[in-house]
Amino acid sequence: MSEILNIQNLNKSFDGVAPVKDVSFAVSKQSITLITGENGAGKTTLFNLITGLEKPTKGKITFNGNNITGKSALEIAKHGIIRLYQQPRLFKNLLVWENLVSATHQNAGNSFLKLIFKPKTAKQEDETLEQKALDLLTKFDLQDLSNKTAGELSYGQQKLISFCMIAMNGTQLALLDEPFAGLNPQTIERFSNMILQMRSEGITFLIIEHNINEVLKVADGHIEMKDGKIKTINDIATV
Amino acid sequence: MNYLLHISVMLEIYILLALSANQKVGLSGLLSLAQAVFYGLGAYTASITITKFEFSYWLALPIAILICVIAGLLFSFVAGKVRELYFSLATLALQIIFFSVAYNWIPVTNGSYGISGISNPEIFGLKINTPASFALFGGVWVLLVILFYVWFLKTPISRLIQATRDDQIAVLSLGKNPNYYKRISIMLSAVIAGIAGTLYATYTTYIDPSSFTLDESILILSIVLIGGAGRIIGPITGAVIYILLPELLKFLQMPDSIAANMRMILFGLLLVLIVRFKPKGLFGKYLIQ
Repeated sequence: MSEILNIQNLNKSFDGVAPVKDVSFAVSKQSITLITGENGAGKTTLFNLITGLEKPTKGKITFNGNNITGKSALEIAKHGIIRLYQQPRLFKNLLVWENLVSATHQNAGNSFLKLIFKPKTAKQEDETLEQKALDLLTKFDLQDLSNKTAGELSYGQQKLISFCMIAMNGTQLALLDEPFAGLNPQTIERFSNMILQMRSEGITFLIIEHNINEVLKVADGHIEMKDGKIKTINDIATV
Repeated sequence: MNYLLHISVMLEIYILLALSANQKVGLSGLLSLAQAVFYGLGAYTASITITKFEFSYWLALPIAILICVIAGLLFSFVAGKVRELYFSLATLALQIIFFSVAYNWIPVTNGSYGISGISNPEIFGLKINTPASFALFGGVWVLLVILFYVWFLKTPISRLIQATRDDQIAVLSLGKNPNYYKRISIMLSAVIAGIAGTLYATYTTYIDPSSFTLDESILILSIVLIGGAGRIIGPITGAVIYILLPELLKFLQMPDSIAANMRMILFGLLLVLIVRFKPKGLFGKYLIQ
């Protein structure tokens, strides 16, 4: 399988603390990699470095052959790397389908000028996307939530919906920060199935999770971090 | 009858101002204390171009809109990057700068003497100079802006403007620039306030800096707070309450000298009650923070 993400000698240090030290690993396309480690092992900083929220002190991050080291969070997101936080971040005053449509890029009406000068295209594209959002919700049996405002949803529902945003967004690499935290076993199972389905549609996953056994059921690789370094890398597929 | 029509024109101007504030404060969640600046910019641009260069209203209007767009754009580059309290402070600064300029740049604005002799708009040779015709003219503008919002609130960009209000970081993580959505919102709000300004200037035919003070900005903000932010109906209701309150007091046979003070007392009281018991305002979708 081809490589989508390559991280070489990544370092981050500030004021004498080094949360990430000499981390190198590669992720192949359409794989699911679990990242574990104790609190303070550097997992979240690693995610911040990949998504551009923090700049690495040293090292190189390559995504799809493009060097994305030190680029801004916005540029990196435009490359197709999306991050889901532990707390779902939905737009709580928008309806669920509006949340999903807002996640998309190929919508002319996202730009004010296109909206004014090409109102017809904008309207058509928006309607197509609305249908796509409904189809997606139906696929995951969430269609009943479509016309609710995101703020009304339960915690688990919010997590599932924020997860659906990945599929709307044209994401290539999704970074999930403790997706299973605070969910009941049924929702976890549902979530795992969604992850598998989205992987089959071409999305690659990096998952930080303490609920190791649940993720290992679906994961292809397992990276364990300790004190900012990689302790072990297991490629489950080859083991 | 003329008095009633005068009230309608003022109501129309305040509806436009409230809708413009709603764009910024409601849809974008940017607490602006400078709504009167863009109102004033529109009014001053129209007045100066009409009196000094003898432009017609229809030439002055696009210039005023352009000035408001540019001012909104420049301001959003400075202030669009900060949020909440810092944004409000930046708008406060803008408001104070504007007032000082309008008050002291005498060659252009005529300072505290103001600009007089602003001619009324004309449509196809018909001068809009009676209260009745102006009420109709203002009504058309209000209708246009309302229709714009009926359409705009269903568009993807207005959803993203509201999404940016809800969670800026999430918008960024989706690969969209939250500053863009704030900028559009600030510019849109500036244009609507500017249009209200051109109406005010050409209706009263006289403007001076005292109409565009911080007090005015706060007043516009309170109108949105009372009516409620987010939906079209909220700001309109707020404006209706503010304008019709003194008329109600007159109806109760209260002498003018008392009614003027009573208006502010009642409006203030209403504001306190709303904040305490209905923090989203009468018809609001959002809490103003």
